[in-house]
Amino acid sequence: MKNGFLLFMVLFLSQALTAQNYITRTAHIHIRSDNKVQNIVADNYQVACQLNTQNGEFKIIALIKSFEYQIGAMNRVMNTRDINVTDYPRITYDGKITNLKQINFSKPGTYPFKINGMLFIWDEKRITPAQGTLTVNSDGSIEGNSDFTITIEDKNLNKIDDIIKAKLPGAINLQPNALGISKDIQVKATALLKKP
Amino acid sequence: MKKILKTVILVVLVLALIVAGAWYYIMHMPEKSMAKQSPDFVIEAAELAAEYENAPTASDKKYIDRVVEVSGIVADISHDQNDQTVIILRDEQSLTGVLCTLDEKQEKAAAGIAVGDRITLKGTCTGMLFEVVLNRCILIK
Repeated sequence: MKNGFLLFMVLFLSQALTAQNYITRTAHIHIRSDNKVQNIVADNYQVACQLNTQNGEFKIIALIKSFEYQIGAMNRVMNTRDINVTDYPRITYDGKITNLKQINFSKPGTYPFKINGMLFIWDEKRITPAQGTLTVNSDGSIEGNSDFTITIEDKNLNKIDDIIKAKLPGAINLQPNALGISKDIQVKATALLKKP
Repeated sequence: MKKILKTVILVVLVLALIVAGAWYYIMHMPEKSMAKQSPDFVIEAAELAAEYENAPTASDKKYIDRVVEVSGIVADISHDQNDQTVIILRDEQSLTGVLCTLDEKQEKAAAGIAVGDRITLKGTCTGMLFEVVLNRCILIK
């Protein structure tokens, strides 16, 4: 785990310094889950992104504890030591733009892009395709926008149920399904990438 | 009969007020003030970054969700997409450092900070990306 992460960060940093790479430390991820009782909305403004304009590789890394929830109580609970994320503190997306030839990074304009990649959350990974737009600005920076949906699998809903039971022992029969928690999480990502 | 009706209406109103108050409190519960929290660690930015580089997993366990007071040289000042000030503390010879997002109430304090200044900030550690990341930071000096 240690060596894997170190190797990943060294590669991430060293690749970021090459000429065809664009990076940002402050991309924004907005997530929303529509539920019967109360929608859950959260934002993370401390997201690292790297785009290689030569081969189309696109990496996103976000820290789970950097999410800020709109519900004050949830924010307070999630960002305490009671919710331990130290085994898997990061969400990582490792993808590649599939229509790279249709994007002219030397000509300002807005270009649609499609990406295929692997999303790593907690101890799971899943193939996650996405699409969006890349805007090449006249100052050389690149603005990326993408919307996609992540569907929570049933086994993970059971994990949420276990966490609820662990934190609220009185709520023995509290089921995510009964609360109408949606299995779909809508994700909106925006990033302004510049040369390092 | 009228008296019973009045009492029922009054009870319903009081219950509705209690529920509305509780709901408002849950929705808007403020976070603990960073100024009132004692730091779990007081450390130099270069030292914190080096510790993370050498032992990332152990450092995650040690620092995530902890209040850290960190001192160092300002290498970069920018704003994130929420328009909050982001300061990177990094020594000239280091590849990595500490990224600190200031609390939204710290804008006045941030106005006086310039690249090259030596400052001390206090915030909550959320892990490491390019740099070690601190959130909700306030300026100590």
